[in-house]
Amino acid sequence: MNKLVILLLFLIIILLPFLGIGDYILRIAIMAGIYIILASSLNLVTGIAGQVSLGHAAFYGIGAYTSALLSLKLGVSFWGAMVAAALVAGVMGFVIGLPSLRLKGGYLVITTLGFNEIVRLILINWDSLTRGPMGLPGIPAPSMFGRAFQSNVPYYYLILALAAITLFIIYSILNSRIGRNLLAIREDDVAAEAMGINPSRYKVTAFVIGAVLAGIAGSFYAHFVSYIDPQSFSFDESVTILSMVVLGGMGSMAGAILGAVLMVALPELLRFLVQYRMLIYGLVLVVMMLVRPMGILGKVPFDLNFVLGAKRPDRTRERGAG
Amino acid sequence: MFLQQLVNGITLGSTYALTAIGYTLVFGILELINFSHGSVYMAGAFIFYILATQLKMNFIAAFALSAAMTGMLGLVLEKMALKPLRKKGAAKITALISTIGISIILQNGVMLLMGSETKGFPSVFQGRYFNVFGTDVAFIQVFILLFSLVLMLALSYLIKSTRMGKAMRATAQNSEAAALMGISIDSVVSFTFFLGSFMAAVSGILVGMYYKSIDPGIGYLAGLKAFSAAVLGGIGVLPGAMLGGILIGISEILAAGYIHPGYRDAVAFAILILMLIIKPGGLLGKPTQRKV
Amino acid sequence: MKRIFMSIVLVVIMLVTSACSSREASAPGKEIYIALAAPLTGDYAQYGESFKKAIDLHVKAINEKGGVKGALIKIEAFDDKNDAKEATNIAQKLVSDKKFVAVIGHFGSTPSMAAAPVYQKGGLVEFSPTSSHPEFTSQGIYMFRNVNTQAVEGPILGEVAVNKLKKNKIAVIYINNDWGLVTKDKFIEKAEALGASIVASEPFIGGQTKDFTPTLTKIKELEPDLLFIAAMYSDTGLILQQAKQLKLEVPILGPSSLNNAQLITMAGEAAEGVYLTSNFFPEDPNSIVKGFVEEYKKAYGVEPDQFAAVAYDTLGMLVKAIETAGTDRKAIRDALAQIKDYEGVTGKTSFDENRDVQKAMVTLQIRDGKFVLGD
Repeated sequence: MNKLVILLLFLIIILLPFLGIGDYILRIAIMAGIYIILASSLNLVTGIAGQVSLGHAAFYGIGAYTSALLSLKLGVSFWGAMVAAALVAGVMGFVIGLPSLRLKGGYLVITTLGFNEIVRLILINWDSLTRGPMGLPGIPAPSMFGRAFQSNVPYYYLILALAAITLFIIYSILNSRIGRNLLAIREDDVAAEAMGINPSRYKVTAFVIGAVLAGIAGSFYAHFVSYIDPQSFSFDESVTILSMVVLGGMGSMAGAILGAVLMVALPELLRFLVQYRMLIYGLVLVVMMLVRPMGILGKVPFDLNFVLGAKRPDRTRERGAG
Repeated sequence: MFLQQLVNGITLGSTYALTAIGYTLVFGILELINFSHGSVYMAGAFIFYILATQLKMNFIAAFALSAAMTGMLGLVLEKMALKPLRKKGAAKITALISTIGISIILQNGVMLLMGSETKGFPSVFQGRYFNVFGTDVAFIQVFILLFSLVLMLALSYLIKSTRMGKAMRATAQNSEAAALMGISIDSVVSFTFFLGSFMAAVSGILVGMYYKSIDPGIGYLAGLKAFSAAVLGGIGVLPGAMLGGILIGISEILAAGYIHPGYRDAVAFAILILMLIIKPGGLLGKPTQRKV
Repeated sequence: MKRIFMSIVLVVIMLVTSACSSREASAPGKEIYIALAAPLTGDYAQYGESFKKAIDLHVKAINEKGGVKGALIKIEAFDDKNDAKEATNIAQKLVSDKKFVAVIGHFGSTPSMAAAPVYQKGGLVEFSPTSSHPEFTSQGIYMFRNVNTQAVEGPILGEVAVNKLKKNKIAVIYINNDWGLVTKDKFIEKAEALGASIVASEPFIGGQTKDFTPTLTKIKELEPDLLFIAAMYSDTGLILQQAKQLKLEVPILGPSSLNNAQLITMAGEAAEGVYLTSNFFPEDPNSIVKGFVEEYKKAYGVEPDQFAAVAYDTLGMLVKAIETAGTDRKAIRDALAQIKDYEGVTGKTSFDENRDVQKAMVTLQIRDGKFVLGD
């Protein structure tokens, strides 16, 4: 019975563009795909490695701009540009991660937030490179076998492939030694260090991988919407992505997927409530945290008190501030 | 010109200090990054706006009443949205997300009720000036600086010498032990939130008077800068918030005047980040020990 | 595992239901649907609201007179939060929903630019009352705008500064977005061509900066004879107040974005004497304008600003095109492009071959707390 349902879902996802759903829903599906990559990659950093980052949109933006600029100014093909975007985002992830990840909890959050704002301000002010607020219009569509993407359909399959690859990468990490070490660090990094695991190395690794994946999503986004400007990569965007992870359930891969899809689809369904949309969105966050803080698919019991060093009721030892 | 820029910086900085003091209090006691502090600040300013301009209340009464009402607002928010999380021992990030949600609700709620346009804000400070070493300093600039100083001193006294203050300090150090000693953690938390929100309103109103304008968006950056100021000076350390605020104000103004105005906010953040990497406890904070 | 399935099933159901809900059977003929895409929440909500108020007013008047050949106009509003992603989603939705014959939107250049490729590919008119990004109308033949681009207004301001106000040592403060950049560039180009010198050109980040003291202090040192401010009225209000506080006494000139009563409320005395250009001011004795202002005041209790005015005209021009062409999307586009000398509340309007407009502007001045014609 289960197998049949899985098969059916699989078929629906593969054949989505041909099920007569229309361009609008297809676009929503594509956006959902982008956010699945973003949410899962953040989940790796925050849910699994336990490093709360409010700066994920910065890597998204760096990926988008790198890819767009390479295509527009140097005529690099989408595929090359995307690889470059991933690399640049990864390097930035390393540069930022190395010093920041020594910080704990609240301090780490602020640092990632600050970094996000700095990136956005650089994008706005360095107009000789980025055209500042004028943005980058006319970003070329990807081409395959000599033909550029004409409709939403090839974009859908591309993002489907990218999302599948992303999920596979994260899944593999989770089930490898790296993954186990990350979870150990998450639970108690002092103890992990005592056992010979170098927390810094693993945290930075997770952070860099997260950044690389976000950069890939950014590159896709740029070539999908063909116009980007700094406004799209602000702190608000980082909050949105983090909320997806929290909503779906931190540390849970399926949770990240669900959170992403919900938060892409819900605003579209709630569109009839136009004026109240943001208000309801805030309410959803608050109510979710009250009613089911482990997220929809989070594991019970919710063990992630480590995140900001909160004290667990059954432990008697003290933790440092934050 | 440099002196004038310095004055500008100190003034701007004291607006940050004012808000940071409230912020650091809550963070210090509850270890909670309260994203809604900025929106509460904004709500306080709007409540004053309604009382003073639409209900035409006397300024002093409106001031006191709006601060008190905002304090109550903070209390209610804590009771409804954060207390249940605390009781369940939920992860701190849950509370953080919740405060983000609260901030969105408050900002959009105010926008729906009052409209999103910038509104002229009443002010009691008309153009009186002092002349300090050849530069003009407006009365309100001096007032805000002195007021933050007084506030900081008053709060320090509260924390050090009153019973509630001691209870707050005990809770900040070790809430389990404090509870075992008979301190009602719930009361401490409620009081802290009331106080924090009260002060957020006070800063919101004063800053509104300084710029003679408010809009529902003022909370966002005010919250972030206060946040940075508190951490720069040392989380939980009141004089630190004051110092942090002024330092950020000065560096921001100098960057805007001498380097490039577009990067002014980036400079503030960059300094913060550097601080955290070099000395995370903040300038006046105490280094913490990690015990196993 | 079961929970994962249930959630995925839930998600798929949601997608399918939204697919069904957007494919509505529309009754042809009796109602004509025009979409309004603008920020209705967020930082720019006031502008979207101005649009909506003005458009609703105009639609009501048209419908009372029997609509367009018996069919009533219906407006549906969509909130883009001035965000590019929202705008593209909305654009896709509108393109796919065949009941909409045209779109009035968006407000900001970012969403207008981002959504343009979608509208162009889908063959749906995107008529923006305010988008001023220079490359907007070159995104496609379905893109129209109803505002002088800053490429037009900037030089006019330059002329006012040098020829009319006779200033030649000018300091500039501008908002760092596409609108501000183009305004500043075109102003400076013209002013310098006419012989003035620009002593300062200081940007600020809109929505974030409230404290202009460092910039104003710097400018005061330079002793200009005119301060040109390219910003929205709310930022300008702050600049004016702080300039007064810093005792920076210099004449001030700004573009039509300053044409808002709130500026005077906010800045009070500091706003006295400020010059601005405009293609709409409420005291205009022209009968069309008077009628509009009265109706607006009666309906909403406030005077219309120039955003309301241009939205009002935008709707009017669109309806004119529908009268000529019917409800076919392409026909409407073609008819719209042909419009010449439309008499509206923002003056006489014609489209050029790029679907841009050139509207005449007047110079206003703030005196005794009111906007009057500058001399």
